[in-house]
Amino acid sequence: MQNAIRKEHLYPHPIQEVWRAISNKEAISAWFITADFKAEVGYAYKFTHEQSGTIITGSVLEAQEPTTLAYTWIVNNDGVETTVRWNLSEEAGGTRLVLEHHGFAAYKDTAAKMFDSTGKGWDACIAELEKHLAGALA
Amino acid sequence: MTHANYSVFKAIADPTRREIIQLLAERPALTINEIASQFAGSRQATTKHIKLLQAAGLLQIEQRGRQRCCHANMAPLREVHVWVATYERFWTGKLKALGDYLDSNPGTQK
Repeated sequence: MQNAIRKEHLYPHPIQEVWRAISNKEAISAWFITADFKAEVGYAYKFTHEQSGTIITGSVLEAQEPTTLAYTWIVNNDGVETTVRWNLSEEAGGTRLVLEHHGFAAYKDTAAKMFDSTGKGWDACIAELEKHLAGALA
Repeated sequence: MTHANYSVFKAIADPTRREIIQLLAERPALTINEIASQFAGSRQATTKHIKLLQAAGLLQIEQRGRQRCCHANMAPLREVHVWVATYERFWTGKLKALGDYLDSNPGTQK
């Protein structure tokens, strides 16, 4: 079990363009969220969601142009740190983008074991949680 | 995600605590003593687990006369599920927005 959330898409665009879109401050602000960002390891970035006043902060963990970008993700300074990782690779037809948002890195194995054996007494909702945490999403 | 959700994960990270919740899901209203008797560790250790589960909102303690009866509360686990679902929707939307941005800004280099 790897990730809390994993999403993937093939964009019909060159890898440098996609890299710029996820790593350049102006580009990020245009499609993602108002950003103070630099794709430099250690940079303390800030995303501001104006509509809700939500602030996301974190620091850049990895920045390997044009393939890998990773940063921590903390919402409204609530003390809970997750990790967002972007992976780009060139493919026929464009750029394959993989986005992973690790929610509970320390507990992902735990959550898997949680649902082993009988599962007696557990809700269907909890089974849904397992599915998400197990990265069963395509 | 809130602190409450995080403490839920911390709570279920421990196998003994998972077993306690499992036990209460099958046999609600066990007393702390009855729960402790099911585990090899000391009563103190079990009580500590129970208190942690209570702090995470996964377990409720009800005073019945001189007994303290425990009940499992699955609601926080559903909230975490909601957190995951919320981020699912968020990222789906954002990856689409990225596609729209790239399509409408072709050839933009650094």
